[in-house]
Amino acid sequence: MSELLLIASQLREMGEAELKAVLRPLGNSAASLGDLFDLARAMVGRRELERRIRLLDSESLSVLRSGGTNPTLQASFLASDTAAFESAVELVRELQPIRLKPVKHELVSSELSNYETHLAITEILFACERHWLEAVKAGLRAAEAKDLAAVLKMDLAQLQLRFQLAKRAGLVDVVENRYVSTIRGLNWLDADPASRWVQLASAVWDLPPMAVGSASLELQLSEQYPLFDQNDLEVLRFGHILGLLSDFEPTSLFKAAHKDLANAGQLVWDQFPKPVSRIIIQGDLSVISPGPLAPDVHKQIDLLAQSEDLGLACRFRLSLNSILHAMEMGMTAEEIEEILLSLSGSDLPQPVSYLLAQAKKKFGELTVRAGEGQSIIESSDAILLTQIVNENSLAALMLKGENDHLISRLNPSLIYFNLRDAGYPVIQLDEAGKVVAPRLSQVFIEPETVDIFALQAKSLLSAEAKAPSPDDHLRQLQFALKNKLKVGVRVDMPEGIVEIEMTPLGIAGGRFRGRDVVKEAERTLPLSRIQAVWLS
Amino acid sequence: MSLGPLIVQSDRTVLLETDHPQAKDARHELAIFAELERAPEHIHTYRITRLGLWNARAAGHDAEFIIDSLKRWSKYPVPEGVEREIRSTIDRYGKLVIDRDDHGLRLTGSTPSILIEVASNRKISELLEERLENAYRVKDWARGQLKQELLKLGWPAEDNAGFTPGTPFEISLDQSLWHLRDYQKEAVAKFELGGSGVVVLPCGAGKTLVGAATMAEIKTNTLILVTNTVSARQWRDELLARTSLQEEDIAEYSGSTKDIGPVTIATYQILTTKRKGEFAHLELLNARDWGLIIYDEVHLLPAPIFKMTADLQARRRLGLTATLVREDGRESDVFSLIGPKRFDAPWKDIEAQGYIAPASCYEVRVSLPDEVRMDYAIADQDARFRIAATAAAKMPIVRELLKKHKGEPTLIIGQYLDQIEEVSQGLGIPKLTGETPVDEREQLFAKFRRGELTALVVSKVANFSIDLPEASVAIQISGAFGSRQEEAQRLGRLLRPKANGRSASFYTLVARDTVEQDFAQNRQRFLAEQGYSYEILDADEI
Repeated sequence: MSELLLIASQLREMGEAELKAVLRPLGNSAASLGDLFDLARAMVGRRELERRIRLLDSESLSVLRSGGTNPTLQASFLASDTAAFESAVELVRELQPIRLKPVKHELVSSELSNYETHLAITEILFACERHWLEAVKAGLRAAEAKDLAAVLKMDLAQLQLRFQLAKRAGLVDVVENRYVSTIRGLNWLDADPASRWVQLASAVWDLPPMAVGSASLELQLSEQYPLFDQNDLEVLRFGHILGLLSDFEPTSLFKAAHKDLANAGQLVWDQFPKPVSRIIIQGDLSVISPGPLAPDVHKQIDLLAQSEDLGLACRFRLSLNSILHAMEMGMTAEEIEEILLSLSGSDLPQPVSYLLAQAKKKFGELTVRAGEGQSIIESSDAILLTQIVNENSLAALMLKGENDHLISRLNPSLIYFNLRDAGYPVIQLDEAGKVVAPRLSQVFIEPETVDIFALQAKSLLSAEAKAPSPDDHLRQLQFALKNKLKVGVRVDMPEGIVEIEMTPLGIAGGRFRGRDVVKEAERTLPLSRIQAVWLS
Repeated sequence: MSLGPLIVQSDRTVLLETDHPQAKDARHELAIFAELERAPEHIHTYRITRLGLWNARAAGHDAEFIIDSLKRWSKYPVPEGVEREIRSTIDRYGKLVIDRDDHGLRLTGSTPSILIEVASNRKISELLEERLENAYRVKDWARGQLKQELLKLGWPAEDNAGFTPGTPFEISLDQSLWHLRDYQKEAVAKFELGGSGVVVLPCGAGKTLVGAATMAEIKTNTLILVTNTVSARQWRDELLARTSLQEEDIAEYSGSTKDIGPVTIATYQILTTKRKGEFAHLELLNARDWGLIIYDEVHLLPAPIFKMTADLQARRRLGLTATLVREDGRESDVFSLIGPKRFDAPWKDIEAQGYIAPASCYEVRVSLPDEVRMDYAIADQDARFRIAATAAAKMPIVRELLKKHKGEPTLIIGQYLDQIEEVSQGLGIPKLTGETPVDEREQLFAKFRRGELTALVVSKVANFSIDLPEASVAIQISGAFGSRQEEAQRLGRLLRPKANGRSASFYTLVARDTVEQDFAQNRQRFLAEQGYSYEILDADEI
């Protein structure tokens, strides 16, 4: 039997879960497979073959090179129970190890790496709430990444890497071309450092089964998996910012995670600097924490102040818009004052009290809401609307004056965020005239839970169980003809159902022509009478 | 690691908790290698810069000392990146040395590879002559420029070529009626130790006296460069009053007078005056064998003076300023051409010692009438600031403030000449702008000092170097956008301790809900970082 047939028959034996595992590496192309035969064909393609060969450990590779077989090779569809597939043997002899691309970020992991990662992701999640972060291929858009990186005192590559980690862990998702925090992300903010770490590490822990020593992980992988493409390994990509690796060497946290990832999180507690709950509020509206903020305090401060400088100590700044943001989230000016008083333990500086009074006055002065296919911006202050419509930086919003309000064709959220970024004290209202809280409006997007590979596995198996369609027969006959393979056909003849083994010679005019292997004679069969086709 | 007063962060900032019992000791060590950036009430921010580290290395401190010090006082682990950066930065210092042999200046290198690396740079190779053994001959005039270029490449040269002593001239302090304050003595001592550099002290804290005391220590022909003629005359008066110098020892080289003496005071403007495309007064720099050059208000040093200073590296150079904030980002030029910061004192520390007056700062929000708001709303971005800054609605508030502070010497400070004219006319108060002749300016200032005038409307000419000891109220009606140093310098006009010990009041009038309000926030940053807090008032509260 050919390799293709062996693989096809191996696939037919599989259950749904196993088949799903086979489909997953194919990615998007898995969706276009019509049946298991298509899948088998995809698997003997060079790309797929190479991918599976590169996953082999050194022992299996040497067996494959010698043309032998073992259970790993068989499970990887690279060998039968008697010998390795010829195409795999040919390819393994050609393949060279792939070099790890140089990374653009700090490789030395320190005690503070995890703290910095948690701080960065916290800030990213809050930024999703405060700004319209447009989704782009690279992750965060350069301008927004630059602002966030400055606050976090990180370079851009470091920040983007942490953003990718948050995305990978399902804490951030894309809705209407904009990044938003998911419910998982908001729950992550409430979790303790150990559980937060486990969530992040689990999302990227893809180490193949191996013994781990103290040498560079890159080196250990090269020894144990010589052809493995380490560029695809997420644990290498994100390991340094999770404190798992330092200059590619496994840390004690890595070793603990290798044994038991779920419990390794406990070690993270020791890496977190002791948090403080006290803040200092200064007359210039800055809010300072003389140490890492306790997560609950951080959450409170982030709600009502804009972060300016985050690290082992943090600086935030109160502003009209930051207070309005807290008010949109349902807090009153009095509650905000109370929080600030209790966290600082002292009287508020006069400019802070003045600001709170201003915010109270301005809240609701300018609103944006959805109209019929448009956004409506309203204010009782007509001069303010005139000013907005003349604002150069807002020209892209295509605002137009109409009676006592402004309109735009763009969506209200976009208008809201742009007005906010331009410094206007706008709030967003829903159809009932209620204030839309920016966090709630994101409706807690959960990452995609539909497993397309499971669906496809199910569909392939059920297709196999069904009577094949004439199109399927035609496709298989064409494939056999092209590859000069013998086929078995079941045909509904006047004398009854017969099975014939044939060597295909041609297909034309709705007829299949071939040589009957047993009778050694040429036969022409109407395609409409063929009930089943199999490769022999 | 202790639970000390420092927090060292990955961006190389170091926070100091001032209330911590060990804060004083930690601050003492930190000041050796880090620069004070912000000094508000509770948490001071220092920054570990390459310049600061090289400065510390020049003073004999190695990387181990610096890292040990950080670890000893730090509350949390010192980020490894910071530790590595300190080691690699310090390691670069002293690998190149500028010295002098019998034939002139040389650039020597600890290894041939570094010499080759720097000499292969086009800008540097232009400053070098022939190759010597493990060294290059440096062109005679190129010492300053070479240091500047090497610094840009990240290879700071240790300058061992020494300073010319200049023509000796006997100067001593006459302390019969006053005494040099401790911080002034410390500033002079630190400057002397380094040979050149910058002293940063708050306005009114006696920078001129630091200059005079330095002159008295070095006793040499001295060139003093100042911002304007009025300031030149203040320097002259102060030197006559506080030192052994006599009238005939001090010459003025300015637009009106072109004398040269053992102590010559010149303006930046005259030095940068061009005739037929050439600087017409460059000969002043070599007119005498100056042993010391003092740059007053060094934060304002114009670009051509930087260039000229590059040729003056053999002479001792003292920069004086209250605000080493350059909006053009040329702080590194100040470092390589004038010298590193030798002394800096937080404003509030000096205030606590009683050497500068306490001040209350107010931002008064003025609502604009609807017609002005509409003008503002339809104006383009550039015009909006001017409409807000010059709003006539500020006038009644100025009147109210003058009433409130009746009899107190008051400066009304503005940016726009037509606004200054209007206020002056409307309130019947004399004005002083760049167009006012020097003699008239001096007369007005003298009347103000004597109390014959209790208010003056001034333009930005009064931002710097004007000594009006009794001024205790300032009303800022407009300013140059978000300039932090202008705000600080304007407050600085009020900080001379008052005879009756009263505190000063600084009002900034700001048009509500306009860009002026945003700019005001930026302007206040430097002072906020020095611990000054603004109270926000509505106009109707005045």
